[in-house]
Amino acid sequence: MSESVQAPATNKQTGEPILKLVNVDSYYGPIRALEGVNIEVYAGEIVCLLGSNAAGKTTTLKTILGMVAPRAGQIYLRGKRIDGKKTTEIVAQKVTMVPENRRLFTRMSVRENLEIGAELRDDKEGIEKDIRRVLEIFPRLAERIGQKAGTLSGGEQQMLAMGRALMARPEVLLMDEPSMGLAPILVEQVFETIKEINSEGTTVFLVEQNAHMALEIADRAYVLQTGNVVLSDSAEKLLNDPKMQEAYLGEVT
Amino acid sequence: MAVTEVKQRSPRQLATKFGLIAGIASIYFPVVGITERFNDRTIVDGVLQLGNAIFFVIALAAGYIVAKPRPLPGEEPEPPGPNALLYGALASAIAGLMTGLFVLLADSVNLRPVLISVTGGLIERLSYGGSAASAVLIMIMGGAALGALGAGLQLISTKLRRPVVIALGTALLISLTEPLLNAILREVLSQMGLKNNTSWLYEGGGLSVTGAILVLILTFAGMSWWTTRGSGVKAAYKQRPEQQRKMIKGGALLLAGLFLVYLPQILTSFLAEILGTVGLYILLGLGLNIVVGYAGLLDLGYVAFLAVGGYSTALFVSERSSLGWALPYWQVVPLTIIIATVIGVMIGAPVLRLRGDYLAIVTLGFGEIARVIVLSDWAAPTLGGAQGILGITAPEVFGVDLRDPQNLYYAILACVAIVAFISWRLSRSRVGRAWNAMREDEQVAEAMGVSIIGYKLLAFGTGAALGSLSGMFFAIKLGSVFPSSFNILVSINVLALIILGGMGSIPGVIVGSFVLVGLPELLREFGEFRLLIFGTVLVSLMLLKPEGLIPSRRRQAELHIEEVEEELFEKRADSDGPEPAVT
Repeated sequence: MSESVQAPATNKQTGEPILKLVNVDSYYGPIRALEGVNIEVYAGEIVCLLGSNAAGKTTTLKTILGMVAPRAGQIYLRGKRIDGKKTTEIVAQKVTMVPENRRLFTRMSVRENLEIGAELRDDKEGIEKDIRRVLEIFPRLAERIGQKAGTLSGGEQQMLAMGRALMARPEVLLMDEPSMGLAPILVEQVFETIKEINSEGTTVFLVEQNAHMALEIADRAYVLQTGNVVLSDSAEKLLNDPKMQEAYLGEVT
Repeated sequence: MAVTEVKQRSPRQLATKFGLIAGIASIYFPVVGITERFNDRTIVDGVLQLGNAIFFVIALAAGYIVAKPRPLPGEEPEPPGPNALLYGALASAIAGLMTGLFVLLADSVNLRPVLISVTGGLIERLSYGGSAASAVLIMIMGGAALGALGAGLQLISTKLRRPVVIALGTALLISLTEPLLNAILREVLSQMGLKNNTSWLYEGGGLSVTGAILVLILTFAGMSWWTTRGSGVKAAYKQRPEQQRKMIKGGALLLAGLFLVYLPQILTSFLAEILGTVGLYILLGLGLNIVVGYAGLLDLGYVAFLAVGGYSTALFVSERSSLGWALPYWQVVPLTIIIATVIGVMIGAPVLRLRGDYLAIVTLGFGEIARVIVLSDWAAPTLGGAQGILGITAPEVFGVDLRDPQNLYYAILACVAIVAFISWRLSRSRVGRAWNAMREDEQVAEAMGVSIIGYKLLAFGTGAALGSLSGMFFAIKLGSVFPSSFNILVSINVLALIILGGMGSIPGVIVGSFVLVGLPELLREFGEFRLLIFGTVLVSLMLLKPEGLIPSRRRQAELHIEEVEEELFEKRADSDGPEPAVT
């Protein structure tokens, strides 16, 4: 199901999409992980990519960041092609990822983790200011600033992973399953924070298995199945879509 | 979380087990000839020889280990009761019985055809003047007594035990380093204008009786003071304002520096030579530490850069090299460093995508390639083949000739200080942080914008430059370079000293070099057993202190973080809640 021209599903879809995948094919060795994927993300949106295990969600993120090179198709960032570019070049264009399972630098302190997030920035004062800002968003991290990241609890680790990503001042934030392995109450907090970050102007592209929670905060969503986009609509419509309810929403929450 | 079933052994089983182990050990040492050879070395003059001391240590250790409280996980350790004495004695008595039976066996059957070290003399000495049968009795009783003594160490409080054990250990150490310390002591005494009579401490190649008592009492007193008051002193130090603490630290560093500067004045030339070699290895270690310890790139071919430094110095300096340029050193030093850096980056480039074991194998290959190239006929016209390059003149720095070992020592010392400072600054810089992140998780570091390629090449380049620096000193020291000097053992040794000292730790590299390079030189008189002892020390060190002698704080965390994580996991098992994490 390729969407060529589609009527806007929400009112945020204006102008040129900030991130656009056109017929992207990605391979893991001989295995085709993505087949002609088309995704559009507009500035200011929260767009969600849903799907079960091995549907190709993480591959999509890795392909956007250039960690997996697409074999066919194009990826546009603010209208310019970024496929085939090096990861560091893409990250330098204000696209940042919060990886699956947090993947913190567990043996480095909370502070060092945040500083690494700002690796591509040179403004010392700005970095200090942003560290303070992140600590305001996540006050619990302030108490643990000198502590090794590996000693934080699961929820705190997720906060740090998000804080680390924010340190790059991203315009597009790619998040890979931020709810994974967290207790329900923490998941809610995490999604609250995502909304907050979004409301301050950051575009969020969210990969999730927890479809229900994700759709609650998302503007639009795509559903991925074995490398193909099989559904795409506004989050509201998908929440009420019988096909969707049966396939994804029934089993979660 | 899987709870591992802990098998609880009865004390008697434990005593039997460790008794058998101790018995095998006490038979092993005389059988391979260690006891006889080591008995040439005095621990306390007229009282104890090193070979016999081994038996005592084994018997004490067996009793000590058996009596050690073994609480079930989660239980408070129970203080050992008087029964522990009994079991400790039992263990060492078993060991004594085994040794005695061995003496009996060796006395009646000629074992020499198989075990050449089991001579009649050995049996006689092990029988301590009596018959072999009486030896069995002596050994059982002696073993039991020592075992009980060892177990007794468990009964007394920690505050008493630590000083006792440390005092015994210190006495052993001071006695074993007699050749070194006695020479220094004499020199110091005579330089201070005193009679260089050291018999109050040393006699007959070991401690004198007065010396032993002196050392034991002094260390015991010092350590007991420290165990009772030490924490107070530490706390007082911590309460000092930052400024004062820095001054204390700086003062200590200054003292250490002064000592190092003064050291060659009181050393024999042989020891000064060893010190120079240790210095070279410190330089190499600091260089490899950047590649392995900071950036996490396991390089097994580091000797290649020692060769690059040595050969490029030789080529440019020596009149007898194929170039015959005989350049002055102020040109040679930057040239060598530039060449090494370029080669380091060239070697680094093709292996950028490799990680861990694969990287290790490829770099191992590069190290060998370096040796093969300098040995080859193909490069012989330039590099001299197996004959190497001779006639490397030593530089004169401000009119000081560096060929003299003492002056070279100072040059190396200065170089070590500079390189240590550079790597200390690097570890705290942005570059160090990026290396760290890269070592922990390359993919995520890349996703954060860390330029993996750039930082890897930087690490290889810096490491190569520092390695070539010690290659240069190596060439100056020997006045010549040969392919045979650059074999794989050097790479292994440098890596081993880093691991021994503690990955990523600068003081660790220094201590590791002294232990790994300096110690074997001092043990030379033990001949063929040198490497055996050395290997044993290494293995036990790595078992007891896997993070190294002086671990960097980060590395220590790495090896213990799993425990912390596990603890956290257990705490949060029922409620992934907002309770505070461990601090």
